[in-house]
Amino acid sequence: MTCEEALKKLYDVIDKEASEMDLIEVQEHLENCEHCMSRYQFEAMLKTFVTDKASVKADTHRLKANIMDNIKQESFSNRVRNNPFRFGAVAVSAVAALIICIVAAFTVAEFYRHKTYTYQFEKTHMNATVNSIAAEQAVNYLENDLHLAMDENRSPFQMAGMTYSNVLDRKYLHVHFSQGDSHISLFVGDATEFSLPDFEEAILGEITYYKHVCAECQVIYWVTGSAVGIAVSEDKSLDLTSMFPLLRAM
Amino acid sequence: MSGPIRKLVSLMSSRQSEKVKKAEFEKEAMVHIDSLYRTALRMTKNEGDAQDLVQEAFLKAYRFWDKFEKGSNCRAWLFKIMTNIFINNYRAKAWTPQTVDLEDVDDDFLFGQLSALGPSDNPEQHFFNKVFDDDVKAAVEELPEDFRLVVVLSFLEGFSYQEIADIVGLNIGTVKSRLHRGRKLLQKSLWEYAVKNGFVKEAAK
Repeated sequence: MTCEEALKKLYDVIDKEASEMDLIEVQEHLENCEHCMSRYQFEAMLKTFVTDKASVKADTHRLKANIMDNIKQESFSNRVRNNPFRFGAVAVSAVAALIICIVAAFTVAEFYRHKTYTYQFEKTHMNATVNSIAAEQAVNYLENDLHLAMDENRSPFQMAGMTYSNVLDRKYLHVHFSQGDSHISLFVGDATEFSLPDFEEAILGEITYYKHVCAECQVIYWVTGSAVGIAVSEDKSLDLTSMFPLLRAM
Repeated sequence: MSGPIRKLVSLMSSRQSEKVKKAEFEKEAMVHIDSLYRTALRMTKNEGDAQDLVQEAFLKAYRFWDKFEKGSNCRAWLFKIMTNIFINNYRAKAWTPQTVDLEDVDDDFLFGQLSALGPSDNPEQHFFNKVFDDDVKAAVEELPEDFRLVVVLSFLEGFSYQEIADIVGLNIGTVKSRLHRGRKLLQKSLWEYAVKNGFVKEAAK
């Protein structure tokens, strides 16, 4: 290989684009040619020099946080925008707080969007019962620690079953109340782990109670301290709110 | 009993899938933010524009995250998005036809200049010491945009010629020739900075 040929491959070699054959030939040449060797070394140094000096180590933590915030907002507002129930929700918002309406609107949409989704939850858990000691502990926990207990004076419902369940990787306590054909399912979880429909986005940490009624069921959920409770019933004639002492005050 | 619970669970699962997407995006894409910002800085030449550019690129990437082929090169994909935005939006602001006179600059311009100073121990090291960090940044930023883009992608980001061709949307030959010309301009510019900082005078001693 001549000097001319070797120098022709200069940038290919430095940029690590040269073929293995070329590389071997160039290396052979460089071992015997001081001039080309120093040229190669200089160009390699120059590249490293520019690369090092022109790269800045900037702090991008803030920028990253901003971007993730924007992504959150965008995906949230997209859902509201794409929501067929938006106009209905806006009308209601004349009375209700705007934010609650947004939650309501996309919750309704979500309820219908996944009609085909089935979950084997009931199959697995509805027949499970916990033993009486665990049940008593759980009731105490509900009553004293979480203030989530159902008000016995106002509610003819009996506890029909209780179990700890994992749904979507989140652990919560599921209590099943029934009276005749009416049922209430109460889910209790840790608010920090148990994230409901974008609680942190929609509710902004201010609102701790939300009621939703759709064609087929009613749902209330609320947060007390670090606990979140959800009560679901398909019986729409029930006044779910009044059955929980804490919620009556709200 | 089946109706309400199934709906509640499905509602939770849809929230969940949005969260999974966010988490996945953060893990796969957001980790390249330093790299994108570094290039954006050299391209836009100021922090404000660079931040806007990076932000815009990531938001667009998130919107098209479903289109990203999992397992392929995420960093190159992000750079392609960012480069597109840069070419379409930022360059348009002050685009002027770029003519560059490289007649008098040879490949070995800088090497030749240093060799011409005569034998001394390690003139390269003296030279590099006389070019300050800010000079190097300025030399890169002074490159005409077409050259700057490929130089930054190659030097700073270490992309291969083929990757750069894909990112910028050029054929590989054009990438190589722009990189080559960019190098010449860089050499010339770095030499001028070194001279301005007193390099030749010291070397002559």
